[in-house]
Amino acid sequence: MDIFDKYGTLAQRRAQLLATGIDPFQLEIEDLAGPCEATIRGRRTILLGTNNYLGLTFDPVCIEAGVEALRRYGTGTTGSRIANGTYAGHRALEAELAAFMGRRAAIVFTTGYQANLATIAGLAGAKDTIFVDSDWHASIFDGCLLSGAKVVRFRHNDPEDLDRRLERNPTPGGCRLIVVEGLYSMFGDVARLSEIVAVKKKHGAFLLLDEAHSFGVFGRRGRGVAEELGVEGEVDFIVGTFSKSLGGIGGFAVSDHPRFELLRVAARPYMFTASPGPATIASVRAALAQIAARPELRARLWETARTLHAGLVRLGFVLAAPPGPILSIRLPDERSAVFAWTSLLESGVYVNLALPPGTPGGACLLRCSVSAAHTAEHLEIVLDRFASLAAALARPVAAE
Amino acid sequence: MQPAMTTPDPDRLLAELGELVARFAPPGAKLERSTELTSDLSIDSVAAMDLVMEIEDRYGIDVPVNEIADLVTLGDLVDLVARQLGARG
Repeated sequence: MDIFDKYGTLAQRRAQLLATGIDPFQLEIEDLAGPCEATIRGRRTILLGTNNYLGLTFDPVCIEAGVEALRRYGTGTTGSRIANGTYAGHRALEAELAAFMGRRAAIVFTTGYQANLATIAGLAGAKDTIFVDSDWHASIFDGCLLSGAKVVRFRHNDPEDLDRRLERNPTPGGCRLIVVEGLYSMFGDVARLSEIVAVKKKHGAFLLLDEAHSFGVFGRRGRGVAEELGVEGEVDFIVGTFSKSLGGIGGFAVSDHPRFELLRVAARPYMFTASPGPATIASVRAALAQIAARPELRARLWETARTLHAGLVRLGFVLAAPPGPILSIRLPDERSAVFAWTSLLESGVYVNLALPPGTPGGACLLRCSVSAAHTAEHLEIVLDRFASLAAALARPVAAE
Repeated sequence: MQPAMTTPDPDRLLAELGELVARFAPPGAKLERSTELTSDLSIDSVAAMDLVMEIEDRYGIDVPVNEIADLVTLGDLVDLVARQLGARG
């Protein structure tokens, strides 16, 4: 027996995808020309699937901050936060994130994945029960398993189902933690957070909100969906990432809980990994300042999202959610989704291909994400390419 | 939600669960205690969690996610649901 035998089905599906001539999950970006354009397979391509919501990856202020930190502090910290990996920049960023989010404390993590892993596994233990939305991100799933807590899934974005499951699981001797996302990454739908908060209060549970895709995008100040819906005071823990609106890599968690900082000595994914590099910390600090100072970035993003959503609907595509930073197009099956993704790429537009089992309900999706840096010309080209795709999908050969 | 049973009869439970499993399985698949969910029915880990959610709604129980990964056969599923129903009383 071979150690990879367990991946038989996965290997078969991967081979089918590779047979199309392009591997959608290992696509090489050969060069970049700003946040929204790249060279892929030798062709200038518009990027419409990067989660670079505010387009800050090429912001000159952020780049300069990173370059200066690189020169001053070196290429890496070579240590964990609990050893030699806490620099003044890490502490400063934590203070700035706490202030931006209006919270008592913030903790920075090396990746967004680890932010969920560490926070969930650090908060919940063997005697606790975690109630988690069924459309969970892998980092939430893994954090739940790592915690050792009892894990109960509730139906996606369904506060009534959450209420029933909390009722059935009183968890004597332990705590109950609800975990939801602000903006769900596959369909682009927003959490019914006001109703979830009401259920949380009814049962005396804790609530953790992952604002990975909504930070910098929702709310008057860009704090996320909790701010947008006016329920920040009822959310006990917020997790976010640096790899979307902040244009870097890393993650954070914030809270008003007086004992929150205990995670620094209890959360293993925080303790036992090297801390984020100085250049990353510096560019994220600069990006955070940009988000605070330039609300027009959010306004531009939303205007672009509404324009693109309307254009796609006019072309007959079925969108999974109302206009927002994530626009997911539903396609009937894997074959048409792969065909559509490949056609778009060959015509110079990159989107994300999302297939089961990585999607909720077995959906086959073309997942687009909008950026404040997309121009009117980008949108014009993108909609032209989608018009050609709509015509191709309507032909029997593509649909068979 | 349908009325839950408190003292499940194993054969009846197998028949009831078989009906739910059939929705996730290829048409005409044989559904016995020894039927393997992944290799015989092509029910992957994600589909298994969706299947369990249907079962939870049917019986008014919550199957911890931690236990779903241990399911190999339809018989394992029957035993797991029976345990949850028994624990609920």
